[in-house]
Amino acid sequence: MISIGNDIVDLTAIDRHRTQQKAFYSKILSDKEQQLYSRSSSAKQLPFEIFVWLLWSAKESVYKFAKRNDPDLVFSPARIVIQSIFEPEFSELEDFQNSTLEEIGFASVSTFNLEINHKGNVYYSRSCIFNDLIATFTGDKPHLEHIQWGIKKIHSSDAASQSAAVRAFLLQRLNERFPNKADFTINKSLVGYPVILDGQNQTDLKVSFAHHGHYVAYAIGV
Amino acid sequence: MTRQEILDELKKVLAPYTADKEALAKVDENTDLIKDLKINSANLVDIIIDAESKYNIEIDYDSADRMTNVGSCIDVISEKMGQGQV
Repeated sequence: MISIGNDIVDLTAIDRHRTQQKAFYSKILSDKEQQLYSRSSSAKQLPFEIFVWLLWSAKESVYKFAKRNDPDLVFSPARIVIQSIFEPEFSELEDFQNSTLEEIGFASVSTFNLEINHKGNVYYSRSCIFNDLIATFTGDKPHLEHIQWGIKKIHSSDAASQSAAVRAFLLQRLNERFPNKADFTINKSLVGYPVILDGQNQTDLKVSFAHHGHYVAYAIGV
Repeated sequence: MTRQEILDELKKVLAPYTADKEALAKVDENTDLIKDLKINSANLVDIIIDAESKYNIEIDYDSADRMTNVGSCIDVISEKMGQGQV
């Protein structure tokens, strides 16, 4: 796995009314991407503002994937193009009941699956959507069974708490996964993507993490 | 408007999106919106739209992409206000 990306949106922290305004969503979605909403075939449609944030989160997640191999890349949502959206059958969005949700791969969860194009490369993302959050995970293979991921609700939403919580959450899983190497630390590269150190040595583990409002999420390439 | 005047106004645009009031008080042109002010990327579009309405300008995709730190925000705002480099 050459890279990995993820993103989380706390839907209780976004301005739903503002998101529905064209001045807002047209900064994120092209006309063509807006049409993906009206073409949706499922009986139950996502509220439009959630659709906007779903695409935002896929774009951000692709940016984080691509940044690792393209350090000068700037986040430009308009240039990351959502090609298609596969929607699961759903009746109502559910609340995020548990304090955490963690899996390897996406076979056992209901996800919105997006195919995305950026600078000639194709990316695939899976998004879990609840009433209160969207969590998106991105790779460069269609099935993404090699992504270990987790979502967690946290109590304090200030930047320092988010940052500490997501790092602790990720490190706990890394230490479980590699019990012989319990000396992992998380560092950030100069351009901002996370790197995992084992003692003093940089590992080639690919991880990504994200926080927004009261939610944090990690992704580990396995 | 001078760069300093734009900076003073820009602080007001950024204020609702950062909890780090200390960092906001001492912003300079090199202050990064995400790294230094801890602004969540989900608020970047809010900032662009607030700047558009505050300065009565339109910020296109290319210009929006450049608005990652305070100096580049001032560049874009002053360009769009038709003043070029100030």
